[in-house]
Amino acid sequence: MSGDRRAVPPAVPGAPLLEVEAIDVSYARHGHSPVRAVTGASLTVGPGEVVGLVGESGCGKSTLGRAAVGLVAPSAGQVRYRGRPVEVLARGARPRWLRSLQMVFQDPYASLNPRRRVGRQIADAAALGAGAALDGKASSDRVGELLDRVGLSPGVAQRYPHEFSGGQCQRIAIARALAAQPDCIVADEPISALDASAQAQIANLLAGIAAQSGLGMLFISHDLSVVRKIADRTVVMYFGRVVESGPTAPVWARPAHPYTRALINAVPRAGAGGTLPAELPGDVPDPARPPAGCRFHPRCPEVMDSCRTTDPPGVDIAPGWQSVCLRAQPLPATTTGAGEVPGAAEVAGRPEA
Amino acid sequence: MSASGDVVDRAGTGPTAGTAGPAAPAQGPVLEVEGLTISLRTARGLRRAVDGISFSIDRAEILGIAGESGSGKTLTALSVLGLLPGGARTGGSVRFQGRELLTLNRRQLREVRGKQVALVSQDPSTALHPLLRVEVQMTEHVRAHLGFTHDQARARAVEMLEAVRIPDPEAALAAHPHQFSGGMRQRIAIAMALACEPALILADEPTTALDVTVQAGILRLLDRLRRERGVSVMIITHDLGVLSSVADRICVLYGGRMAEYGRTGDVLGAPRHPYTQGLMRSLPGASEEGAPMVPIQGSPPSLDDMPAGCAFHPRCEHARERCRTVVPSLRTLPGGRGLACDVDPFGQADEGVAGMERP
Ligand SMILES: Nc1ncnc2c1ncn2[C@@H]1O[C@H](COP(=O)(O)OP(=O)(O)OP(=O)(O)O)[C@@H](O)[C@H]1O
Ligand SMILES: Nc1ncnc2c1ncn2[C@@H]1O[C@H](COP(=O)(O)OP(=O)(O)OP(=O)(O)O)[C@@H](O)[C@H]1O
Ligand code: SF4
Ligand code: SF4
Ligand SMILES: [Mg+2]
Ligand SMILES: [Mg+2]
Repeated sequence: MSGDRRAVPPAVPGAPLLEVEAIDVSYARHGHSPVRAVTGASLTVGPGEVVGLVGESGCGKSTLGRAAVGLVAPSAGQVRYRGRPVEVLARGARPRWLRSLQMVFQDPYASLNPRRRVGRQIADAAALGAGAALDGKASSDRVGELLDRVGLSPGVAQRYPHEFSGGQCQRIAIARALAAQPDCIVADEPISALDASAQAQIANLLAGIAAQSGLGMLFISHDLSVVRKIADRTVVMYFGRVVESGPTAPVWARPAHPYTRALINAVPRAGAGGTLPAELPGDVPDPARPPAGCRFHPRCPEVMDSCRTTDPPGVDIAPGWQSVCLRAQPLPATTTGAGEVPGAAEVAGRPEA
Repeated sequence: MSASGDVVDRAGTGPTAGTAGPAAPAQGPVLEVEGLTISLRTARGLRRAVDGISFSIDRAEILGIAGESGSGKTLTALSVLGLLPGGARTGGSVRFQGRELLTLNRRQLREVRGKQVALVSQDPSTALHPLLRVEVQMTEHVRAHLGFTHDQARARAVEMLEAVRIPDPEAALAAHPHQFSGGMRQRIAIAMALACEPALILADEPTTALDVTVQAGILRLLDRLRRERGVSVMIITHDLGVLSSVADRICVLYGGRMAEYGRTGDVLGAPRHPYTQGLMRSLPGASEEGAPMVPIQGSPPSLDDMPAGCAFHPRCEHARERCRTVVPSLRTLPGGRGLACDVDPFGQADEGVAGMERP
């Protein structure tokens, strides 16, 4: 990338880039009890690491992402960036030292200013990253380069957001996030509106930046096959909680949590030939009244009596791999960590979408 | 059906009910789009964003529209509802139950829109007003179109919210749209579209914002609606897995034109157009484990620099000299397929057998 990265604040030596530690986030609701969108969720993102965050619609992924970049305040727990606690300022303003921590928002239309040409918006972000406004030529070169990287022609810089299709807006939102020269990005459904080829292109681009320049990325997505492809680690949320997290390959080969298995089984495949993907029976729980015991128990195909009353603790399946389920068992030491684990054939044989 | 493979189809009949797809019911297709063109006014003048698209949808049929981002999928859906951006010019024909829609005035369109044809928009924030409670929006919509009393409308709203799996529909009715996650807003938008029991649903990326288990529920809901109520669906999505699960036939668009069409299993099982081939090769599962994905080289064209000839030629490995200047014609192939590629690098020598029947 061009331009100098301005001095970053003193990092705490050895700290991961981004640490979310046991956070709770609630939203107040008028005339109703508050919604507890995230409960006791933890994750970390290291330099050069892509962490995939997946889970049911409404389970709190975006909320966790917004808390991670300091846009909403957790009511418990802590978020640290480079070892320093992230404080939340009023009205969406963020402290300067957080500018190398960027977010790509889920709704690209809503996150772009409708009255400003997209090129200007990218240039603003580039100035933010450089710490000073770039002069005209340098600025337009940088904007052109960024647009080109995300697969748009530099000529579109003069256009306004409403002149773009959904997928084009997503590319612009990514270009704008990259313009700020972040070393950590929370990307909330960044490629959902793109065709398979463009998804591959942008996902390769993001994973490539992570691998080459040490960018850390929290990649929130419903597209499980893309997560499987680019994420080093996968974090699965259900109803405000992290239910499973671990290195991507073994989690996919042998998902430890019943919800993770349900997710993987519901992925529609390009060779489906008219077969509808498997539904997860039961209703999405009402956030105001979380089920007792394991929150997944009303829908869990493997529910036991104890699940209705006991809140399951996290069990270490293997180092760095946890499942929050009463049935979870640590793997025998000999098979841990590797991509080849017993039972892999159960799911590994599935062709992907 | 004639098996002559090389009928030139410039007039743009496309995958119409008479020639393609499952047997057409007696009363004819619900939606017929023929030679649709859409030009938009931009700062740089009038630009043609949709160029000669044709398809039809039968009663109880699910037609999938796939294509690159910016290929005109949303504009095509909006044209059916008369919701194109200001200054847009249209050509060709869009008939709903035999009635031409492109020439209707605003008032006539409003009668069709919402009641008989419902849109599930790609951007759920456009379907829902941010400042009005969900109850107000849903009940007014139902009352305006069906003449229900408030209580009837409210009961219908609750029923539809349950159908799309919104927990505690009563609390949801009392809430404002921003209090929901992206996926829940999308489900509410779907509930609103279904509330008036339309004959045709235009679903623009309806499940893109949803996780796969809820997506599976919505796809099953659409499938149930068509089986039980004969609803027709046009589903726009770039997710080839979604198309493969629910769509009877698909059209693949590129650069505002049809690239190919046919029965879903035929097109995805043995793509004929180099763009469709490229899409299949880009899928995460198509590349080696641990290796990067394989996108199509180059970038999609923008409206301002649409390539001459075949719009795909700058990115096509199979392009010949003529591709740079001659717009490929849309030919019908055996088996109800159509293709707009003059080179046809993935065609079989024995055309008569090839496209016809697949196991
Ligand atoms: N109001 C507008 N003014 C100018 N150009 C527009 C406008 N709306 C859409 N376009 C352009 O028209 C083309 C087709 O847009 P459309 O929204 O139909 O694409 P799409 O196929 O739905 O793409 P996506 O998959 O990204 O949603 C795009 O190149 C887009 O930039
Ligand atoms: N501003 C808000 N006010 C009140 N409740 C909210 C607000 N934003 C989100 N919620 C609620 O918090 C929960 C989590 O929402 P969030 O947007 O984090 O989910 P998500 O996992 O990102 O879902 P999706 O996959 O659909 O985007 C949901 O129940 C939602 O209704
Ligand atoms: S704790 Fe019980 S209900 Fe919860 S996921 Fe495990 S088996 Fe299912
Ligand atoms: S017409 Fe030519 S450029 Fe276009 S898809 Fe076919 S081979 Fe490629
Ligand atoms: Mg979200
Ligand atoms: Mg669109």
